Order: sequence, then structure tokens, then C-alpha cells
Amino acid sequence: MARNRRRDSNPGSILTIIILISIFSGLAELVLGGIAGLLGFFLEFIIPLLMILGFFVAPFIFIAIGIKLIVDAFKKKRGHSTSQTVSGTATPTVSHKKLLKKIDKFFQKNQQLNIDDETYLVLTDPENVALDTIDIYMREEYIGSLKDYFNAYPNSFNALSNLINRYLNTKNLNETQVVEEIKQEVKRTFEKDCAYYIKELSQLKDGIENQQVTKGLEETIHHLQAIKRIEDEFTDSKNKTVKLYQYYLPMLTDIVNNYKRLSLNVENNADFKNSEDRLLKTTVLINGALNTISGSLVEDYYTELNVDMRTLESILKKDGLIDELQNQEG
Amino acid sequence: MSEKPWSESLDEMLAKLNNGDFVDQSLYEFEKTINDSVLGTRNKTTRKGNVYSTTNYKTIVPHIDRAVENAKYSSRYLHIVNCLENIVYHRYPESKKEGYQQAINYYLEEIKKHQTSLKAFDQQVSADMVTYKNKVRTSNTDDYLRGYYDALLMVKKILNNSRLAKLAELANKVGK
Repeated sequence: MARNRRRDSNPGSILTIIILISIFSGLAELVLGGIAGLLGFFLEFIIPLLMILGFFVAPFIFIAIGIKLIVDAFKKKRGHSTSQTVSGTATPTVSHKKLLKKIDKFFQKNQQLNIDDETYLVLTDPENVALDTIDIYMREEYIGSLKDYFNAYPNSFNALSNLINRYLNTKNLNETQVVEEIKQEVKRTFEKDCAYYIKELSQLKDGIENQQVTKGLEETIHHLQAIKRIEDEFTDSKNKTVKLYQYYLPMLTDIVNNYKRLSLNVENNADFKNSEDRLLKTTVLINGALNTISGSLVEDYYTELNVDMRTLESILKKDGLIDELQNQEG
Repeated sequence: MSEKPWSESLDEMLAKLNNGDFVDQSLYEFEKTINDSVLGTRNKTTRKGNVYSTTNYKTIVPHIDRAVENAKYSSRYLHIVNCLENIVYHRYPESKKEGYQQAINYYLEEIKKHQTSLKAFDQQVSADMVTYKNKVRTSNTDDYLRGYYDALLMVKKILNNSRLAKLAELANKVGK
């Protein structure tokens, strides 16, 4: 049987099997060798290369981060300046809640918090420390609460918050230094006129994405241009617009500044929405008032003109010049 | 006829806006409120054909002498006293004038007592406003009372303006 089996086995098929085994083993060796080669290449070349590159690139990354931090800090610092650009608007470095907490702590040991040599804050209700329970005194006279100030000048309020925060944080900074710092930042809005606010609002309007806001501000600028034309021609009208430049337009520009500041950092969406709503409504109000003022100024101008004409007529009549002129025309 | 000063209407509206009275109103509704108010305007045409707008609110109310109103004061007290002492009653009805003057004199006396406590004076005026508002509502025909209430509105306006002037001064100091 065994001999028969040996005779049955074909020498050709054995050879085929041997060849196949050789081919497969060769292929397997090739694949495994390739993988091992790639692994070696990765471990011996790519990783060291990455490490070398990382070694050279990392300092640049750190430098870039450092530059960004410096630029951010610079922007924050510029927030206190009187520059009229967006970056010039006051960015609060402390939230109201934290500020009130610090103020509360301060008033536990003190009677008043001096802002400068003639302005100070007084807490009226130690049990309830809030913006409306902190009164502002100027020259020993009550001028309103912090809430009144926040409502009227939200952007300037942020500057004041930063100032108070800095004062409360810096133990070594004495009161005189704080006063000196404020004095350096004094800017008189009372000298600002129609032309100033046209320029100011035109600059502020740039970069605002909300078209309703820009449209409202454009309308304000349009009204101011009309008022300026009347003021230029009819100088007596200027005493009717003093309040406009003293209170209302500073208030509007302050609200626009605050809105632009919040639009740069929309982390607190609710604050931004409130600011937008308030800005839009204030613009509507001020535009309504400007419309009324310009109408009233034009009315006064024509009344004045009529009076002048009548006076001139009576003088001419008195001198007999009107008859002469009429005769000449005739 | 003299008009209600635009600043008075604007002050009232700004105060309401700051108090959050219009928070629930959409911008469209708010615009409508303004147009229906004193600040609403209508167009007029001059003889030369130029179109201009003017307020449709025509009522006679006393006003503060413009030079006094626009002057700068070192204190709120001086601001308030000067304004109260320089009210112009041009064509204001005689029937209301008595109540008006009575109220102005009363608050002039009161502020002199409160020179060092303006906050108390502010609070007193606010409380009186509420009382007289209710009185005027229930008695619409009493001219003396209406004059008195008109004067209270004026005192409130002066207080508000004097406060705004000082807050503006502080805002100038602090910067932006």
C-alpha cells in the first residue's frame, strides 16, 4: 500500500507546492520587512526630526503667545485713555458683583471711598450693597447714586469701576496718586460742539455691523449737520443747543462706546443685547429731539428774518427810500 | 404759543428708558411711542418751499430763563436755586399761575433748609409728585392744583438736570 502511495504521488505537484511555499514566504518576508523598515524609518528619522523641529519652533510659539498677551494688556490699558477709537473704550477689569464685594469689604472699615480730592462714595445701606445704595458726593453735595451714573454714562462707569478696583487692590498707592491719575485723564466735553460730534459719531459708526444701529447714527449725523448749518448762519441759535452738547450727545457717544466694547467681546450675550436695545432706543429718542430742535431753530430763524425785514422796511420807509426805489422800478 | 421745551420731554423719556419702562417694547413700538409723544413731529413748508419739521405739542408752560438754565454751576444747590428763581411765566394762564408760584416758593424754602441734604430733598419731591399726580387725576378742573403740579414737574426737571450736570462733570474727570 505504501509503495503504491509513493508511486501515486506526482513529483510535479510536489514541486508546485515547494514553489508556492517559496513565493508566499518570499512575499511575507517582503511585507514584514517593509513594515519593519517603515517603523524603523519613523522611529529613527521622523520622530527625531519632529523633536528637532519642535526644539526650534517652540520658542517662536511661546514668543507669539507672549506678544498676544502684551497686545491684549496694551489694549486693556488703552481702555483708560481718552482715545476715541474702539480700543479706546473702557473695558471693565472687574465685574459689578466683584466690585461690590470689594466695596463692601472696604466700607466695613471705612466711612467713605475717595475718588478724587472732591468726589467720594458713601454706602447708605450696609445690609444691601448695590449700585443704588452707593451715593456719589461731589464737593460735599449729593449728586446721585452709582446706579444713576451707570445709567447715564455706562462706558465712563466702567472706567470708574476700574479706577476704584485699582485703588482697592493697591495698598501702597496713596490717595494723591489716584487723584493725579484722574487729573491726567480730564477731558472737557463742554467745549465740544456740533462739528466735534459729527466727526465723533462718524468715526464710532464705522465697524458697527448692526444696520439698524448705523442707520440710527447716520440719522443723528444728518440732523447734526442740519443744526450746524443753522448755527453757522444764525449764531444766536447756539444758546438753544448748549444742553445737547453738555448732556445728551456725550451720553449717546458713551452708550455707543459701551456697545462697541461689548461687541468686541460677546461673551456675555445678555449684556450685549441689553446694550444694543438701549442704544437703539436712545438713538430714536435723541433723533426725535434733534428733529424737533432743528425744526424749532428753522422756525426761529425765519421769525428773526421776518422781524429784520420789517425793521428794514420801516427804516427805508422812514427815509423815504422805498418810494424812491418803487419809482425807479416803475 | 410757546412750546414745551424739547429738553424737558427728552429728560422725561430718558428717565423712563433708564428706569426700564420700555424694556418690553420692541423698537417699532418704541418709535411709535416717541412719535405719539412730544417729540413726534410733523412737516411744515416755508414760503420759499423748504420743508421743515416742528413739534405738534402746543401748550403753554413756564420755562427757565435760557441764560440761567445753560450756565455752569459749581454746585447742584446753586443750579437748583438759580433755576427756581428765574422762571419765566410768559402767557401762562393766571388761573394756574397762583398754584405754580406757590409751589415754586415752597420748594425754594425747602431747598434752603436741605442745602446739606439734597438727597432728602430729591426724595421729598418724588413723594410729592406721586401725591399730587393722584390729586390732579381726581380733580381735573382745579387750575390751582394743575398749576401746582406743573411746578412740581419743573422742580423735578431742575433736580434731574442738576444731577446730570454733575454726573457729566464726573464722567469728564474719569474719562472713558
